[in-house]
Amino acid sequence: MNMKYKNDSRTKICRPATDVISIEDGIKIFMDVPGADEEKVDVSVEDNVLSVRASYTESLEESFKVLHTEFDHCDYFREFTLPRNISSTKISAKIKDGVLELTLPFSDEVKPRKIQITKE
Amino acid sequence: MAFRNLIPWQRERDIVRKEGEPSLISFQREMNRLFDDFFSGLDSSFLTPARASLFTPNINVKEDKDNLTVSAELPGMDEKDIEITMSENTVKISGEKKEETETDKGNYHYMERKSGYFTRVIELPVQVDSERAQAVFKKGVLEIKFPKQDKTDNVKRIEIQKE
Repeated sequence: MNMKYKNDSRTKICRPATDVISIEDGIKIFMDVPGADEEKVDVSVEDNVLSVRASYTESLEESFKVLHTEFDHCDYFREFTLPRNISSTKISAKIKDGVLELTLPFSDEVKPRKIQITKE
Repeated sequence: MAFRNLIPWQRERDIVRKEGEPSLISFQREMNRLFDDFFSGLDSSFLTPARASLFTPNINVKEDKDNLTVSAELPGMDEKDIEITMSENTVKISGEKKEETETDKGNYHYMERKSGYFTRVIELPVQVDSERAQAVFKKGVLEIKFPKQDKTDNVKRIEIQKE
């Protein structure tokens, strides 16, 4: 696997917890990216691979003394292989309260459609 | 087994077999010892799978010269669903993380995000002024800043009376 994401060694790369759900007309992805900045979220599709990266804007304040730690300021990164029936040009993304929500609609060709039976 | 000596706590066990003890009891003792040895090396949360499915926010505690800051990762939560209470020098963060509503009818492929009720209790290592504490919820991260209390405020001088 080629690692497309380079980080500046200062920040750790985290794999965000993700829900992937099939809905009627496509796929929904919910990803927990607490602390990630809206401007620093990057969603891209290349060769059927959806990659998501997100990072913090605030740099770690050096003057702080850490007393207890369970999470890091990290760069979130994750890749997914998309099924063929997803129309990659119609993917939309929004972020709210640290949750990134992606909507991946099925392409029109694969949407269920009724085939009329003609009577001879 | 040398590795057993590295474990800081151990359940009580009898090393010495008592005189005249039936061998079956001795065998049971030996089995208990083996179990204790095995499980004492594991993280206790590993043995309680129910806990793993619950939402437990990650917490960081840091300090600088004037403030103590507690931060918690609460992605997808509404600030109205988060409650912060303070007693003595202990902070309690609790609430309920709800699932997205539109996912009800969906079919899950990955389900890694957790939801549900949670409570975290943090004992603060220094005296803080809870009256002036400030909490901010931004981008799914809750940050509570407590100004440290001046140590001299707490020192009370007791006058000695002369009789």
